[in-house]
Amino acid sequence: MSLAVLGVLVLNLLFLLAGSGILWGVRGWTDWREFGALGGVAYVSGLSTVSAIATLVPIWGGSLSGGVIVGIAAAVGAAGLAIGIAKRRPLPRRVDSWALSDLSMVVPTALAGLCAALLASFFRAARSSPLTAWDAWAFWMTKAKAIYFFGGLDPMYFRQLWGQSYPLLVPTLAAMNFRFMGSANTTALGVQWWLLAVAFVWAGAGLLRRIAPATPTWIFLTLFVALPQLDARLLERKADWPLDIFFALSACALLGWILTDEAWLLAVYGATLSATLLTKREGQLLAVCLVVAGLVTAGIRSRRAWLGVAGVALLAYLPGIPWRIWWTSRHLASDAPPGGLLHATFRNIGQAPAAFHLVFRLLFEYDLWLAATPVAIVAALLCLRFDDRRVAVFFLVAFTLGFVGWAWENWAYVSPSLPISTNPAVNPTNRTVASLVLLSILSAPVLLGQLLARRRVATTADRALLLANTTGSASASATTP
Amino acid sequence: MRTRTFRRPKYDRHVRLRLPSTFPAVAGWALVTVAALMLLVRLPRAVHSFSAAAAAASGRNELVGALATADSVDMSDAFVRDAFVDIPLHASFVVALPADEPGAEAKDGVNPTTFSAASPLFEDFLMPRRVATQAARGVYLVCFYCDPVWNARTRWISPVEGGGRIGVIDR
Repeated sequence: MSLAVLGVLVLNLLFLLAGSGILWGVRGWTDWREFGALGGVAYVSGLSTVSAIATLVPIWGGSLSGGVIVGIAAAVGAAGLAIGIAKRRPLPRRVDSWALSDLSMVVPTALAGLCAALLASFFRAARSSPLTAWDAWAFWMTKAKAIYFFGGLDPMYFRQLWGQSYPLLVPTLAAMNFRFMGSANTTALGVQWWLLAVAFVWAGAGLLRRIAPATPTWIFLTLFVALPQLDARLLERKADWPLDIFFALSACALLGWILTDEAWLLAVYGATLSATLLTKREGQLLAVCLVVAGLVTAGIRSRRAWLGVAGVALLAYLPGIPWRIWWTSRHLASDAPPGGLLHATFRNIGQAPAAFHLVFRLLFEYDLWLAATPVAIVAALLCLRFDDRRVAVFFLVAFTLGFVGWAWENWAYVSPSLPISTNPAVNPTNRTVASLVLLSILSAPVLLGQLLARRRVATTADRALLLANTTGSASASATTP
Repeated sequence: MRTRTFRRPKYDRHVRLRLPSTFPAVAGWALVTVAALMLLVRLPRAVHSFSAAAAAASGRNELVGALATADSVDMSDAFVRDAFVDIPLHASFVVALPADEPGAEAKDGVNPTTFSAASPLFEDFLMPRRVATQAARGVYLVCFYCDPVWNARTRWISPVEGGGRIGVIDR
């Protein structure tokens, strides 16, 4: 293993430690098995929080030195520890046996092993694939190298490169990796993007374990690793896949909170939503989808819903404000269409049918995304028949808003340089729809769990069993009425 | 008061009783089966795709991937290698392209994409060498089919490779 790859792994271990502190502060750990199950959630929370704070350093003209990065991670972890001590959170206990105690877990465990084997196979490409995607070397990585080599936001680069208003999380994350590698090795940086895919699987499994049965969960998580567009585009090292991964995990955490009312999930929702907002400007569109879906599902008249969904989203938006002040105060281009978004929305309304057709075609293209999305939609429509429609409503509202949002982006921004086209070189829709595919992949197991659990809870004995066993790992109890 | 006229027919009650208990579960299992089959069919191609990607990537990391990127935009490897070797690590440089790009494309058979890629490619991969704001004395010149006017101001330090060469502006 090269020193550069080792540097990436050490940095990501720091993210895991910082996130473990956060999770201990907001919920505590019962035992090491639980730590293993929720380690992915801790990692994503740590990566999101540390990276969000780190974006502020270059904005204020500072250099992202090794000491600064370790300091931010330590501060985040220590803040979690302080809260944990104040709240008297339990430390993880030793596990008596790691052996499978339940035969029903054999299939999910085998699927998890298959998923891990696929990811390990993907790692070989991740550590050695050179950077060849145009946008990556034309501005994403150029910005990252400028932060790494020159510190702050060098006006030579940040005033001239394309995407002047684009948020800083991806360049900052790459710059932190370069610091830990000891060089600007964009090839080894592929491992960071691979780790984001690992994080999606690990954190997705952790977030779903209380609200979805294990077998469908691992079928869909393995499907994610097998998506044709994942190995085709993940290693491009652009911001699209990180955006989609943060968004889907944020949606899953919010859905988990709505179903289980466990407050710690709001911290995960907030951290990942903040990362979504700081990754690409499209993050704002996705955040609106989540907030509206959350409010509709949790109750538009509920004070708890407004505090939990909109209040946390507002907090998640705060780290993006300094960046907005920075680029607007320097009169940099916002890349909004001429005349503003509202004007462009109505001026180009004639393009709307073509835009909807494009999004539909690319989203449901089997050769790009397999058919996880149609499965989730059918399951959601079936779940609308139940008394408890929360999962179906959350998914359908978020999905529909996202679908309309991506179509709107297409027709509002249409121009000779950004035509409504299936060609990925001139139109990003084949990348942006991944957000809805990942939303489907994490929602489908919950929806299927509700369908499968329906008959079981019909008997009084089963109802009593579910009430007694409220902490079962593969239980779908949280989604049944 | 309900009369016989308004009473629900028996078959309707049967349908209402049966559907919630069995149909969703059957549909759920059908959807799980579809997903599992989809995965099963895709798996061999996914494994092959990962292996192919790893094989394709092997040996393409020279100059931290700059040569692979140069290949993807039809730029000469030797030219890019010269730029790395001849321009000192903390020097400044400018990229010079022909004033008449369409003319050069037609005359020398250069892909328009290659001209579009030249500046951002060198700007990114040559860091920490910085792009200069002016072509002043002491600044290095990355010339890609650039105009002969540069000859009077430049001392060339590399041979022409794929239409490009490196020089230092000395007056």
